[in-house]
Amino acid sequence: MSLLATHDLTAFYGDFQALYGINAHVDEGETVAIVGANGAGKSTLLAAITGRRRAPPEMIEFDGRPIGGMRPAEIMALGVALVPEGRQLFQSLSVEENLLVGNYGRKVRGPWTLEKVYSLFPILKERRNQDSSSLSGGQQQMVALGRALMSNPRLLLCDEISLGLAPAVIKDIYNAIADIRAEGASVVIVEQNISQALAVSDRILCLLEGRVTLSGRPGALTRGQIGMAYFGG
Amino acid sequence: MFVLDTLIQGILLGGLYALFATGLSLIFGIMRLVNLAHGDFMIIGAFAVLVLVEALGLPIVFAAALAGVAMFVLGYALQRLLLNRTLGKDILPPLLVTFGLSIILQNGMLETFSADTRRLSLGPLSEASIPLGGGLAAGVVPVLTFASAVLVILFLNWLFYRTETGRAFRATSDNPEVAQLMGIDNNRIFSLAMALALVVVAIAGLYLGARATFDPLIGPSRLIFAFEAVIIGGLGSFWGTLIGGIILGLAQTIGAQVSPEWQTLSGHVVFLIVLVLRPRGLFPRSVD
Amino acid sequence: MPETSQYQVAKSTRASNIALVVLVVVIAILVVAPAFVSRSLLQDLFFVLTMVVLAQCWNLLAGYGGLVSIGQQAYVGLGAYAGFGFAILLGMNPLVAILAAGVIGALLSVPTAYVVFRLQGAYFAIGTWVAAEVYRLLFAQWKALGGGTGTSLPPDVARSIWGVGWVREVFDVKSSAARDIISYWVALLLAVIVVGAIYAFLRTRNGLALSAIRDNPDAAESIGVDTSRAKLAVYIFAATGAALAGALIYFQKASITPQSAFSVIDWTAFVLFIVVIGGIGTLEGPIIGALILFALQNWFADYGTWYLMALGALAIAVMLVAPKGIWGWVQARYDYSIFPTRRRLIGPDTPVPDYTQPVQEAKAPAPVGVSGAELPNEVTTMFDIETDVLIIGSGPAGGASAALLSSYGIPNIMIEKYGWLANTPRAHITNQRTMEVLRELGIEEEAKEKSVPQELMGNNVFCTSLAGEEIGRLLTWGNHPSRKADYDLASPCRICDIPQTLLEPIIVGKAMETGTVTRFKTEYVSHMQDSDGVVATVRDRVADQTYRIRAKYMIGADGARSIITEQLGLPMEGEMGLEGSMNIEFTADLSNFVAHRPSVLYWIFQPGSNIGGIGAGVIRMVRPWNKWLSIYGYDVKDGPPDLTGQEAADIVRGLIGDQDIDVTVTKLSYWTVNNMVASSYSKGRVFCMGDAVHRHPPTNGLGSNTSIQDAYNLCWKLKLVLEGKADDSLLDTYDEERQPVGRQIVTRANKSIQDYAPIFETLGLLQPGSPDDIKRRMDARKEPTVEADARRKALNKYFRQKSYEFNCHGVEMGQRYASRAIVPDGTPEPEYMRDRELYYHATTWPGARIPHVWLDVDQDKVSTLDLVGRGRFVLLTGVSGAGWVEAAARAGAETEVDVHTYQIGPGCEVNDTFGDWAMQSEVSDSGCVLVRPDGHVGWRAQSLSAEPTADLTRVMQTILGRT
Repeated sequence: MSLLATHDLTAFYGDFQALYGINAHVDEGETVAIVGANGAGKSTLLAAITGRRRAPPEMIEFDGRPIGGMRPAEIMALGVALVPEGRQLFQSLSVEENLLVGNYGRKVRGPWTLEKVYSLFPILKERRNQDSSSLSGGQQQMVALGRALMSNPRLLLCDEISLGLAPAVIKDIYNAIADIRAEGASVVIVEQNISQALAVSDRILCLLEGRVTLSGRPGALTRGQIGMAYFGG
Repeated sequence: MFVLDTLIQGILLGGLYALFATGLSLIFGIMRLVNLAHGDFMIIGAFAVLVLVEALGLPIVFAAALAGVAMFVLGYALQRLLLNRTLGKDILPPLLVTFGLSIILQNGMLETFSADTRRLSLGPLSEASIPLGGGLAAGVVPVLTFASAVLVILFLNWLFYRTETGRAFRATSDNPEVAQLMGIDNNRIFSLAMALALVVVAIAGLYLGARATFDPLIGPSRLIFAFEAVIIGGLGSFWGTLIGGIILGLAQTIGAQVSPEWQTLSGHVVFLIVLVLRPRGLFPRSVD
Repeated sequence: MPETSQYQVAKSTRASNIALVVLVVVIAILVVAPAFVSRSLLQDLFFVLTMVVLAQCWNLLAGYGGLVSIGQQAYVGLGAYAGFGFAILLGMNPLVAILAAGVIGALLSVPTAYVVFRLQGAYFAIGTWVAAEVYRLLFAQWKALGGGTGTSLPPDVARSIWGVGWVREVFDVKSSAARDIISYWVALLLAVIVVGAIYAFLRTRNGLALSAIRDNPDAAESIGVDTSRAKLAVYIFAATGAALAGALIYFQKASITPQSAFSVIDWTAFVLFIVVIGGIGTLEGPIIGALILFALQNWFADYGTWYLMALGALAIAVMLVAPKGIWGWVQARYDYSIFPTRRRLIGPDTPVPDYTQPVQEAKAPAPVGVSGAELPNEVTTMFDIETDVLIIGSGPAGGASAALLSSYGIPNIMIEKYGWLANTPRAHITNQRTMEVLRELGIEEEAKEKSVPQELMGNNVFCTSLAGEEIGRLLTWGNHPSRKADYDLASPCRICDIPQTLLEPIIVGKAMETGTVTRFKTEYVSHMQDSDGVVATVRDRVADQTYRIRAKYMIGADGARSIITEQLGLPMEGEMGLEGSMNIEFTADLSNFVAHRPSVLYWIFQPGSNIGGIGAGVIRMVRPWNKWLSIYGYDVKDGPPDLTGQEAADIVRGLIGDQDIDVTVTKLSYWTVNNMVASSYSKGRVFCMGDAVHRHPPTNGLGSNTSIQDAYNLCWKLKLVLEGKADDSLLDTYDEERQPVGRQIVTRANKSIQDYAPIFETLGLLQPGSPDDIKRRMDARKEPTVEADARRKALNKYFRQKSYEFNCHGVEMGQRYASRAIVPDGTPEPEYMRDRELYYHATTWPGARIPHVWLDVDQDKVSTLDLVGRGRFVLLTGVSGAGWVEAAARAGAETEVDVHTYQIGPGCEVNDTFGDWAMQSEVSDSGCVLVRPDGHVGWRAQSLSAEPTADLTRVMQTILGRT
């Protein structure tokens, strides 16, 4: 059984339809990349999964139970965590406090602790007491990732984590993703950057104008196929 | 000597205003909600203590504690059932709803308690004072008020900066949407904040009633004092609110020395001056 | 010829027209009501009318202006007290005193606004309340009017009201009843005026903008100045209305106390409930609300406190259940409006308008998809917004397009992904050709005020660090005496330095002032084309909502990371990301280092400063002499270094050469050197411009300048085509004329970077070594040897070579277009007498920009450039050119495109006092020069031809693409 599955998921903004019946699934321990151009529906899809956009209950299933229409906090409590686009750290909280907020009210035990996050990103330990706003972009992304891990999620959703970062930093972040996968969590990576997504994922899902235009294992797809699915035409 | 006395009275009055203001500042900081019924809740608090003391004959300390618990429950329920539904980008719904509440509360109290002025008696303490030497003295109640304000602020600072709940408060204040994604239930956090604020309001009501007379209709003017203390202090910290309260208290006390009619007016004038010179208050928040 | 718009904008509805008739009848009945209604009903009506006035004012403030005030009692009280003061103390007739009270309200609202506008949102609300309290306490001190206990209106004052005698006679009533009748009429008049004025205001552009602002507060923030002006106006209006009403109400009451006149319950709480229950943000709501309140008051007021509690509960319930109030609910259900202020779009095939149904869009013809997508079947509803030209991006290209189109009267909408304009200084050198465009737009002076003038731009320093050794200096931007004349002769405008952060608001401000609708935080998503328009899908990032804009043409000015060029599949030549570079913005007082050599650019030659970047380290003046920007390179292979502020400050200190200087880094951004140009700028109805189609480093300072010229070239063509006066094919010449310019400047800017390498080489900075080694190698040029002399000569030559970057007048000014919109006159292209990149060569040869000379109109010095432009074709001829003037009139009538004419010479309107035009025009006194709206010569004739009308008509038809 899949950990996460969507069934004919649709979404509207007023009379504009953003998603047209998306059927997608993520298996236990699997890493799935969702790629697509600006406006393809990636963010809407994530918003629906995380409860920021209401969806009919049966359209989204997590661990066998319908979660469509649940509030974000309830969905997170089931074991979903999001690294939001643009990092979105809590500016008046220190680095360590940001990480601790990720663990708010959690009783679940799991591999990820403060110490473990610090060993993944040693620089954060050095800066644990600084304001999160004083960090460089790459370091902020590490905090955002660490914050999500602190809840020991079964499903980690990463929204455009390479956006606006230097190539060297992107490499570090993606190395960390590999470590995170090794701890057993399922990961969904939403990216505009196709090559990055191909390198780390077990499976790739391409969205274009609210529809899945392509899915499969990275090795089985050609650049041309992906390009077609990405831009259309 | 006379000047020193005025200063002492002013500072101690500031303690009362800081108590008024802390609750307002707390809920604005966390959920950007300005509760226009804030002053009326203080009066409710004062009446609650009064009823418990006069009707049930409870000692004032128990009465105050009971009133605090009741206000906590009231605050939680109010936020959960009513005010959470008004929060959003539009500032009008919360303003209008709390304004409506204010009118309901005032007239409800008027209906229940009549327009008579009341006072909470602390027995012999009411009139007692502590000699400070040199002919100066400070009333016990004003000193207790000030000490309570400091204690309340110490407690809130501990809560905000040393506990998980406090972190959740601050995270929600920074970015409620992302806080939800961390599993923080905004509705619960907001309700908790309002409950806490109303406990502080109950304490403020206790001292408001003990220091001077009150009636069902004075809530709005006390709200204005609270608001002025918050703005003068800036939204940076609760200590700023205390200083805002003290400045307002001093201004009013000094103004009253000029002419009794000038008491309230000079407080307003100081507020307007601060507003023009330092629109973000004396101790603004670093991240907005 | 393209069809005119298939859509029309309708503000009125049939229902609203019927309602208007009903309204007039109702008002007429109300006017004569005193004749047949009882006195007590009249008093009730008076109450309703004054409440309508107060409610309308508050509704304008809160419902449209977003200014939720709970201090309007301030103005009711002020008006009442002012009225009493004028009448009792100054003996004014009460009717005059009411007007005077309104003036007082307006006057005092300005300083009040100064204070309370410092607060936002809910705090603004309480701030207004405090202000009202202050007024109440102050008036309680006014002993002449009774101080805290108030006063009554003396009977003789009440009797003195004009018209009492007449009313007594006509209606046969007592004088107190006559007073009531007059008060009632005044209230009716006031209500009609206030409602009418608000209605009229809301239908203006400003009013609609205000509604838009209410719906989108973030955009309001980003629009800044204009919003606050609109809000202030609304605040003053509401204050005036409240003061007028206050004076009237208290003259009717005939007694006053501070408590009642400044009562928050009476004059704000009730008013607020009226508006919210009736329907906020509508004109009908307050009227309905006032009637409801009146009914409730009549039936339940006896219940006192219970009534007030119920009213509070009702308002809360309405806010929670139907936040738009009763009228909002009616509107949503029946789509009905008595006072329509919103615009609606009606399509061509819409059947006889049935206003209860949403408007349907006409079937679009089969799309000729360019971006690949077809109109999805599901989309059958109307387009959300319609305009003539949609502009994506508000940078120099987009902004200039918007300003130019608006100046031509072409409706346009500009969307910008971010919340405001440029947030970093970026482009700064603003050359003469660009200033000429700003001059035409009427914003040259404003730009000059914010700019650093030519004289302070030109000590281009080459040094080892700002504090270190100066190796050489080049006078740049036309500051060398021998070049100053070239620059001065070429244009009525001076080159100057104005950072993009300051220039963009001027251009966009002008655009918006003249009609451009700008939507910030709105992101372009995609578009599709069909045979008569473009439909773009855009996303409002504030509301996170997607909607569509239908335009006849779209301009893609979305920058170097253009999505539009990609979606159009425009062929791109060259490469991106050749070198890595970073901008470090900082503040530091560097006046000590630069006072003796003011400049915009200081070039730093240090070991390592040649890596990446634009050839050498740069310290660029942003604002004299404390705001700066350093450009420093990094190896593009390693990616941007992710520096901390501290590390960036260290780089800056290294370039300054002073480790102790106070440097505050304000911003750090990374970019790459690009060398890319689109081989074609447009596809179908979408035209790309600016960095979207030419991507190059900042060397030569041509990016923003070229972008603005792109706009200047395209916009007049769009205008003529949209007006149906030119054929679509005229638009093809945009690409033909501007693409070669883009290619030229991309090449030029990249070549300028390469010109730094030999300097590093000659200074010995390229080989590794200890600081001492490097110093020794650098000092090698100071020896009295033949070898060192060769080095000195070489360096001198390389520095002079940099004039190709900094004095490149020919590239800045000398574009000559060749396209179907240029008609040759048969003469060969004039030769370039000097270097064509360094020097501008003035000529009237068709395709060239009209040369600048000073002329004389009524003793005013006027440039040839001032005669042309503004969307018009202009024909310049001499004293013997009357034949051309007549021909132009006839050709204009024939082609329906006006050709303005000027005869230049003694005795003519325009005099060639200096004789420069005679030297420069290159045609004889009877010849002519036809100038296109963009200042480029479209055609010329050496002398009067045999058939001037036929010739000119043929030329115009050719330019307009109609042959």
